[in-house]
Amino acid sequence: MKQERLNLRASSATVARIDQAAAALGQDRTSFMIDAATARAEDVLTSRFDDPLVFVSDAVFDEVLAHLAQAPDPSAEAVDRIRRARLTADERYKRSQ
Amino acid sequence: MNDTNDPSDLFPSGLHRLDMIPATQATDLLASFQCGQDVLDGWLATRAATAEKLGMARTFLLIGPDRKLDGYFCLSSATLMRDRLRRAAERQGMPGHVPAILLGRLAVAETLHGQGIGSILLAHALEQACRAAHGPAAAAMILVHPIDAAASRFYAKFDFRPLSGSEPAEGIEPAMYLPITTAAKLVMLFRQ
Repeated sequence: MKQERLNLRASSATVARIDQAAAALGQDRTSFMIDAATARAEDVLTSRFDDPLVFVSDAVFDEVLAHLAQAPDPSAEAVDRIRRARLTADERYKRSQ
Repeated sequence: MNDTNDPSDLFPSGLHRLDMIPATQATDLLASFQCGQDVLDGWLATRAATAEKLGMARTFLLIGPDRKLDGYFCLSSATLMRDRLRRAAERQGMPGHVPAILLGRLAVAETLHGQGIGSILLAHALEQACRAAHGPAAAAMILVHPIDAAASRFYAKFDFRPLSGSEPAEGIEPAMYLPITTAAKLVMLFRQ
């Protein structure tokens, strides 16, 4: 995997604190910072999965309302896929009696 | 349903194995699940049961013929909101929000990828969402935040539409939605 260099500036106190924490876990500074930042990035990016509020522009919102009012039938592709899902389900999850 | 954590007890003779079971009743299965996305595995192993107990999300497990976990999905409630001009629109009597069911996560065991299990899980998720939406608390759509572009393509094949501008940053997939009326028609086809 391609590697990239990160250059960071931080106060001496912050670096000392990071080094203390890294030492407590038996890690070097780089490993500790990458682990911590990666975990934080995943938290931020996955927290949206539970986000109960989705904001859209006025125009998009009105498009959605119009779409909902149409009560659209499923597309041919969606119908085909859901029927295939039923066949796959019947094949894999047979009744056990 | 019973109170055991032994999956073998969850499927007595005659019970359809496709039936979904709540995550709180199969905790032994949760920790070993691997779908290829650490964030989805980690949430199931460490947070699903808590979310269930707190009433934050409902997690459903699909158990395979070998009594292992084939996949899971979770549902909760959500709202689509007008971002701008909301107050002005509401003053004019136009709705400012749409109640929705949020399909928070859907994951298939890595060993089963490409076998159509995701479509089965989605069909069950749509069914559960329709049941919730037609209950006392109405919902007009199913919302999802696709984890990546492949997930967006998967949902698009079932008529989910992207909500342009809902993505929080460049490179993140926009949320998608499916009208509950369309979902109900798909569920009827799945159940026929």
